[in-house]
Amino acid sequence: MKLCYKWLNEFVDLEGISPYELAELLTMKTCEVEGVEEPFAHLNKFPVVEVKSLKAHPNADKLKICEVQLADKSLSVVTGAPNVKEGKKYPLAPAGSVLPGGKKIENALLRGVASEGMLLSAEELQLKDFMWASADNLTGILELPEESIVGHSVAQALHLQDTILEIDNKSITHRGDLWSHYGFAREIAALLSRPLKKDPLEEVNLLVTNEDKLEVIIDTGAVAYYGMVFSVTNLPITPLLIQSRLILCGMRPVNFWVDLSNYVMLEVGQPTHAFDRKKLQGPIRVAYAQPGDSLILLDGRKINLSENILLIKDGERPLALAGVMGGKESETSLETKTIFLESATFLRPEIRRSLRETLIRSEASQRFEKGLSPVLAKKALYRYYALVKQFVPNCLAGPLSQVELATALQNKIHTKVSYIRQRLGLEELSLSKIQQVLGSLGMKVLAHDDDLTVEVPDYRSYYDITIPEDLVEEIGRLIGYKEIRPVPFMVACTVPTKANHLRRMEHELRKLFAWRYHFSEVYNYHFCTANELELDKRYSEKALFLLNPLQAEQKYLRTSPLVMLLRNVASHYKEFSELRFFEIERIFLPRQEELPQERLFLSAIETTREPVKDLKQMISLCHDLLKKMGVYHFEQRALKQNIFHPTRALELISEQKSLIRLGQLHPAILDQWKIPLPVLYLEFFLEDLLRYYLKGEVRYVRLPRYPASDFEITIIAPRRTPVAQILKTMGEVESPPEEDRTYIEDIRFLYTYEGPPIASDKKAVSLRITWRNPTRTLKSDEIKNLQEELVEKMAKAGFPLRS
Amino acid sequence: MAMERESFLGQLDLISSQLKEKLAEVHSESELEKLRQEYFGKKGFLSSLLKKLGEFPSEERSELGKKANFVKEELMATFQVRERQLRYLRYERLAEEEWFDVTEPPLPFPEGYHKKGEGHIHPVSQVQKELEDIFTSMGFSILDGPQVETDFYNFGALNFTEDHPAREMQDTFYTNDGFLLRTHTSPVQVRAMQQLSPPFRIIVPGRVFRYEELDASHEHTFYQMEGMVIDREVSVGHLLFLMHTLLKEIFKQEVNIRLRPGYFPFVEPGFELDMLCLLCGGKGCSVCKQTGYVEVLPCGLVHPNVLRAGGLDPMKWQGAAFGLGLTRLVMLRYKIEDIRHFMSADPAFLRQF
Ligand SMILES: [Zn+2]
Repeated sequence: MKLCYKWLNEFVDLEGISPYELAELLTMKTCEVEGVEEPFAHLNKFPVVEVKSLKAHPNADKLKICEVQLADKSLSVVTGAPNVKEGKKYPLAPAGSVLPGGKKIENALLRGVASEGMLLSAEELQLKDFMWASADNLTGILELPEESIVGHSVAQALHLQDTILEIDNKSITHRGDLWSHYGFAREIAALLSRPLKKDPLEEVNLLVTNEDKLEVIIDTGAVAYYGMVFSVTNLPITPLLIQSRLILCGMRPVNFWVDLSNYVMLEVGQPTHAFDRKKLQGPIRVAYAQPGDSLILLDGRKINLSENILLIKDGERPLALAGVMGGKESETSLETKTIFLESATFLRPEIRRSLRETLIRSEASQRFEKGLSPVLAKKALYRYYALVKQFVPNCLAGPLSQVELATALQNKIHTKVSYIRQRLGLEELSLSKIQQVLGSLGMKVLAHDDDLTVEVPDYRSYYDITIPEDLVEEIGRLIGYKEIRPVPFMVACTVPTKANHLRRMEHELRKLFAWRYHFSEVYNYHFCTANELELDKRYSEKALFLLNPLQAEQKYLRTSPLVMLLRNVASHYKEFSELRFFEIERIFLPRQEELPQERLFLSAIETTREPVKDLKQMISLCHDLLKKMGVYHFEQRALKQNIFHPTRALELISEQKSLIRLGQLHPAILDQWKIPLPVLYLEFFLEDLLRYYLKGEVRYVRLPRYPASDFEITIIAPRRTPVAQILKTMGEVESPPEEDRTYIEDIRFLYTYEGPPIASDKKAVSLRITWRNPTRTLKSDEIKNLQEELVEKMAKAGFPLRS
Repeated sequence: MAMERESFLGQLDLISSQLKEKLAEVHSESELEKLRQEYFGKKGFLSSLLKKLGEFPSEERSELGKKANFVKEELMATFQVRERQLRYLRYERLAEEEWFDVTEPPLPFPEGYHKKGEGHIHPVSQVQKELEDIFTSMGFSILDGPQVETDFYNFGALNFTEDHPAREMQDTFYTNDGFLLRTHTSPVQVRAMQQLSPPFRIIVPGRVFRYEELDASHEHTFYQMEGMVIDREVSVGHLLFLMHTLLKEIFKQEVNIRLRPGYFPFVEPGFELDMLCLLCGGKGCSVCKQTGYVEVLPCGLVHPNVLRAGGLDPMKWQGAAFGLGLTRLVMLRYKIEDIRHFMSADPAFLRQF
């Protein structure tokens, strides 16, 4: 919302407070001021001049030579404007000045005659919004009002020399009373402890000079409705000051009736609406739309109305969206001589519903949606009356139509001085200070010892000041929060705070993946397309979806972490030869109890040129990871899932539960995503590891007292024998026994070799076994026996020693 | 010498039958690609023949052109069928040709793992961790809450009226089944009051969503950190102390802060907290938009309706809360110019942290 500094100054004395200081004051105590600017400052350099005499140009029929008066000197200016007249006043661009469009004006010879400047049109000043300009004025130079003073700037002459404070609307959504100049003036008066100079809302004597009165009925949706018929014989041009103020506030002059209506709204905050009286039959009703109702709005849009939209109707006929926008049909024009003016109080929920359903917004709805006091509606109508009378004294005004369904609220709040002190942290705050502050805001304070009863004025009683905490805020901000000293909390000496183990694990995983495994962490969106959802079908069936996605096709919430990492690879593989990304986030699965299930995952992706080698490394990574997470016993098992290569995928399983899945992605997926490199992927859910992580203690094994005996063998096996099968054939690793017994301490796979001289359907597998006896050193013949037994056992199982 | 009509058609036929034969004999995608070049490439058989169309008079040209194009399209379709067949054959042979022993134990770490290149932790994660450490040292617990929330926790319990504009589709993502994506971390305030017994101090770092088109300074997915203290008596003075300590720790230097009025339905009174610009010391610069102060976070004393929604009696318990824009803080700290970098997975961005 835009506030004019000079307009505010009409209501409250701003002597000694610059617009910038005012903005600072409001920022600190009331609301956010987004900017302070003088929008027409560029017009200050164009003075008002009077044309003293006109002469024909000797060499051109269309040009005239004007002798113009500018303060104490006179200049000669050549103009081609057809509307130039002797004795009238115009804006001048003196030689050396630059027009708003960037054109530079210089001393020039026009067809042999010197011109010391240029008389300007409204267009050249970029002031086309003004309506006082007559038809010639639009094509020719701008004729300024009689009362303009020669030598003043054109900005001054047009009342445009003012500074605008731009208020952030969001910061006054809770303050329905602030949506006007008078409202802000009242606030500023309290902030400055200065009195108000005048009150535009004070009672005026209504002189009824006309009998025309429309009946008004409120079916629903409003608490007060006032209306009056106004009639003039000639519609005047809206006074310049009013037009200028509308323009300064970002509105456009339309016609006398509408301009005054908007002026009253900007002045006191109450929207009113002028209907063309000739288009109305009466009675005027505030009622919901009926099935099938439609309305063409002021801006020409036709809207079909749903049944719970509040309308103004003429009998049964929709006239206007109540409190939001008028209808085209009953709109006033420059020819309208008689109007019916509406000033009503619509209920906030009704207006908000209309806004939600129609998505139409207006200056009026912006005010009604805050919730206004019905007192204001009546006073605003009187203000309109006073303004019309001021500009058109012989205007006829009808009797007041009025329906009042409720008296204005004046909230009474009970609280305590001690409570206010405690909440603010201002122990020394006095009762008299509280009374003074609240009093300046128009509240009445009754004190009885510690007890306070505060009566709130009507304009702050609607959705604004309703509870003691609201008073705490009012007192705090008026005194100034800088008066409050920071105080440490009294820390309760209780048990240590509850640890968030999952979070601890999350951060630890980040360190592992980034610093130990060399992956970089990425953040990804949750939103994906139906195709992307289908990619990994494991949980995709009942995916949640957005009712209002930003992009229509990206409406699903992901059910697999894979999709987004694939997107990441697809976007960056061309630029970077190796990509290793991981992500920790949540996927969304169908609801469980109250809410959808959110599962925290870690997923990682890697591009590779040697998939077998790198997959082995990834398996190594997973073993390391599980140990770090406290999982010591697990096995590898082949995994068949549509996202993975048919043989190069596995899961790591412990206690019958799959903990990690990993593998090379199926080439079909990569073909589909046009990624020309093999890609490896791993994924797990943090909660699956949490219980191991929480137990996660180091497993201490007593140090052995006698040496072990290692034995490496290489056997020949059919090429596709799983290594696990060979290892199993060798025996089982045991825990150290107490007694004198030799046990298998370790069995380890070393490497596989394929190729000559090994037959093509065979492979050589090297393994190492470790024996130990806890009670003594093994003798060499014992060792030899063990070795021979093992070789024999392996041969029997079909794994002969490599010769 | 101009080409005869018959000869053109004959060649077309020949090319067509040859290609079909060859297609049947192709057994790999790379051979297929070679074939494609041979026939459809710029200097391929078919293209060369088509170039000769120009030598015919215009009537004949259009007739032959139609025929030739028909043949070309037919051939390309056959080509694609074969291409698909070969691709599926390749997929089918994977199990046989790319056998892998998934039971083979890996070499132990680190011998079994040889990666070069650094890994990086996302800057938001890093700053989040740092803040979590500061707060836990001050006796706060770290809480999490659901990202897919109910209207009650996201709005109703936080004292947003039924018709509050923030609830509209233009500001909030709604899902099927009547849920929404939380627009702030504040719902966890209410969940915390319901789960923990007062007094308590919590923070809630997490992902939040706003219905907003992406540009350099707007994201629909970003990070916040909620904070809440519930105690017998909580004053504006306490809040000031907390915020001052927090910012001093974050920026690792003395800071000057100020409160101004700010309106949020779930606090009363509500504040915007500003910090004296660290860059210019209050003289005014581009970071503080010449005001000398930087807006840091909204905060306030917990509204009694919110305490009630959390099951606490406002006569017995009071609270303070704040909402830190984590993403914004990270941008402020590292002077990151474009919010879209965070979700870009761009290695050039990530490796700087
Ligand atoms: Zn600065």
